[in-house]
Amino acid sequence: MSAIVPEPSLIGHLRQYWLRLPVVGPLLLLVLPIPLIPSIFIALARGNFVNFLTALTAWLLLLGAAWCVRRGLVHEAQLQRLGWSRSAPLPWKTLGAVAAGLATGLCSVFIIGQSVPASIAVGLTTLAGVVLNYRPDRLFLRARAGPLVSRNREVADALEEARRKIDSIDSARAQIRNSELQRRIHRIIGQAMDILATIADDPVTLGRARRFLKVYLDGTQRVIEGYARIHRDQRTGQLEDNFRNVLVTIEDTFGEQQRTLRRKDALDLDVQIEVLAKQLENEGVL
Amino acid sequence: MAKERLPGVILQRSLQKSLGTLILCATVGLTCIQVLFYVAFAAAL
Repeated sequence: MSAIVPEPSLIGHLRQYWLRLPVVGPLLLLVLPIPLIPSIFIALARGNFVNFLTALTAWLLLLGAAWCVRRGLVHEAQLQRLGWSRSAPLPWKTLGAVAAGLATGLCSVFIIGQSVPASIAVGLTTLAGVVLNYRPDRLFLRARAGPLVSRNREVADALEEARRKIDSIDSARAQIRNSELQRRIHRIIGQAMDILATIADDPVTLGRARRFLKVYLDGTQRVIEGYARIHRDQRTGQLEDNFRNVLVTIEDTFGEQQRTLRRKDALDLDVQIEVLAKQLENEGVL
Repeated sequence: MAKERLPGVILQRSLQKSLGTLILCATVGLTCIQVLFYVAFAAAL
């Protein structure tokens, strides 16, 4: 079986790893605003409300910009690697650029005391900097992304089947009115998408991940859909505790699955799947 | 095989990225340092 996507370079690997991290975003947009943090406290201590409010707003806007840009990058990376993405196809990077421009513009007017035209120029320059650094949004990727994975029919079919299962899990997640459980399922979906991305990058792993796609993902889908159905009618603490335990186990095992796939080491994989299947059975959810 | 990227395209992309980084550091970085300076020392000046 030949690889459909060329092996990523070292920088490509690092970038993919960086984008997988749950909290961090584009580094520059997180590091550069650091001086704003002491500014907020100093302004507060001096009782200068305008400076305090402006510095706080600018810092939040820059954090928002980092979040938006990161979301745009993840969206594009998923589209390129999997042919689909769960994020809405919004111009995330442009939104981030606007937020960053607004932040510097506000600081220029209200704290540094520059004229309005000069501040607008600073804001627009920041916007251009973000767009140049992180590239403009490529919304047309959605239309072009398909053939990347469909060249290998077997992989494309397996990924498409898995995608449908993940979509069902996502729909079931929306019906569960418990933010903690929703967050857990959200993380599980992210892990499952990472595993699919690994398969898309290296189709050789499909053979080893096949049982994961069939048994694991099926089991997870059934558990979460079943809980969402019961959850609508009744709420019992015991069931919720059992469900939480199962989610924790799924999360751990998905993480281990991904690490094992990356290590190109099939050892123990089947054993883990058996253990999870047994636990799902014991918890009475399968 | 994936389509090879032309060296010109890679160079253009690298230049854009470097320019973007420079502009970001110059605008966001300098603005934030200026803000700190003004908030901390402006009253004393």
